[in-house]
Amino acid sequence: MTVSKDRVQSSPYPIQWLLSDVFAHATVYGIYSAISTVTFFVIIVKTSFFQDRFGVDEIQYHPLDSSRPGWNDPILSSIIYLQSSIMAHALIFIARSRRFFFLDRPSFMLIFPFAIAQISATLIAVYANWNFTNIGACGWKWAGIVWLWNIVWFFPFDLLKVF
Amino acid sequence: MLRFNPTDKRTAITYRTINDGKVHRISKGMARIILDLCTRDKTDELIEQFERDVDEFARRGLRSLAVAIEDVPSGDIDGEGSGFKLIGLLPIYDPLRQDTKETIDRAIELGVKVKMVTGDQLAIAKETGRRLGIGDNMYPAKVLKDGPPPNSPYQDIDDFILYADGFAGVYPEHKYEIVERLQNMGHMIAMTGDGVNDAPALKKANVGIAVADSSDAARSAADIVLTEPGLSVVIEAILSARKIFQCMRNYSVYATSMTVNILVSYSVLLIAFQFDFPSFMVKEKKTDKKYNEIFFFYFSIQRYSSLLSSIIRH
Repeated sequence: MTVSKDRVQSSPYPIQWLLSDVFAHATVYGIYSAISTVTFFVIIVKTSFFQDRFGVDEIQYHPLDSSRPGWNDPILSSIIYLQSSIMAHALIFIARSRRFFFLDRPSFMLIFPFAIAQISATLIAVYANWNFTNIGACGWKWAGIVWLWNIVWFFPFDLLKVF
Repeated sequence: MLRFNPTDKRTAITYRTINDGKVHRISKGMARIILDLCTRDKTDELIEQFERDVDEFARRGLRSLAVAIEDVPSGDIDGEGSGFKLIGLLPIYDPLRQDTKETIDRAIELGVKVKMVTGDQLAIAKETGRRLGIGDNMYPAKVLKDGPPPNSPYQDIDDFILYADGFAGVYPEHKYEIVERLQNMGHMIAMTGDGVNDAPALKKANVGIAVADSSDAARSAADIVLTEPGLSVVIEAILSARKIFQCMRNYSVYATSMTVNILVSYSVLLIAFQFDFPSFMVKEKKTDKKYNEIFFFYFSIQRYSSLLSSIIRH
């Protein structure tokens, strides 16, 4: 909603509504951020990279006859939730400008809700143990990894957008 | 009494002098119209001098009004006159507002093509166009009917309207026709005007802007009525319309890419790893906007904003 209060540059030439242009950009951005989520998931479950580097606990692969079969681990759900929440919301900073995100400073009205929303998302991921929706507290270490992961993915994203 | 109207381009009044009770009719109006009206004492010499003076005034940006008088021998107010006689020529200076040039420069900078369509004579229109930076590639309105002159680089009337800087000596229906032809070529037209004769074209234009102190007809036909003199606020309107447009584009890119993101990532995870992400956590986010509504809204606003960014006419 606060996009409407954003500081934007007005275009120096007449502009036209190009739906195909909007969809093309949106598809590229969407797929890039989807790749970030899927890669994150694969690295967590298929390698021991994070476990080795940051000393976090391994995600359990549950037997298929249990109540949460396979990779449906509450903690993993929490981690993926936080990752895609931040990434999806950060898309606004990618989408709002055609230049590097720091060149067109977003307005306070855009940054503030982002901060509030993502701080609460982090708190939910770190502390919430909600059985009804299969969410388990992942702890600050995982939250830190998620934030780091997203920051690492955000900058090439910005670069990709500029080209 | 004949009130001024843009088709006749003159005004007339019939009056009785108190001293001797004789009835006279006097008419004032556009120089050439009055000249055509005159029948008495019209020598070739007079016509030649008249035309020379009018052209001389026009080259200096002065508009000429001519005055003619006739007697009404019957003494009846509606009676036939004895024929008009030319008695004078009034040069009138219609100063340009100071901010007009600036406004037009800014508009051209913003990619808006500006054309001037005026009822004034060609020489005045050219002089004004030069002063305002519109250019003096202007033509009399009759080319709109006859088509471009045979040796001109323009192929047809559409081409002509698109590339000319303006037209002079036009009638209200020409203004309407110019707007309509440009629209048929796929352009968005914004037009400014103040008079009754502008009303049809203001209505036809995508954005009609009635300037301050416009006639009621122009006001009611226009989409935007300015309340302060000057056109500079139009530039503000163009800029903020483009900002709104940019915000809408940003939001729709954001909303669509977020949907693509969540859809693609969770479906890949579900298919490849049987990872059934708890849907409660996704629903909490605001992804499920009603897209139909959003796009409908965008399209209606889009009409408004892109037209402002197209063409301003005077």
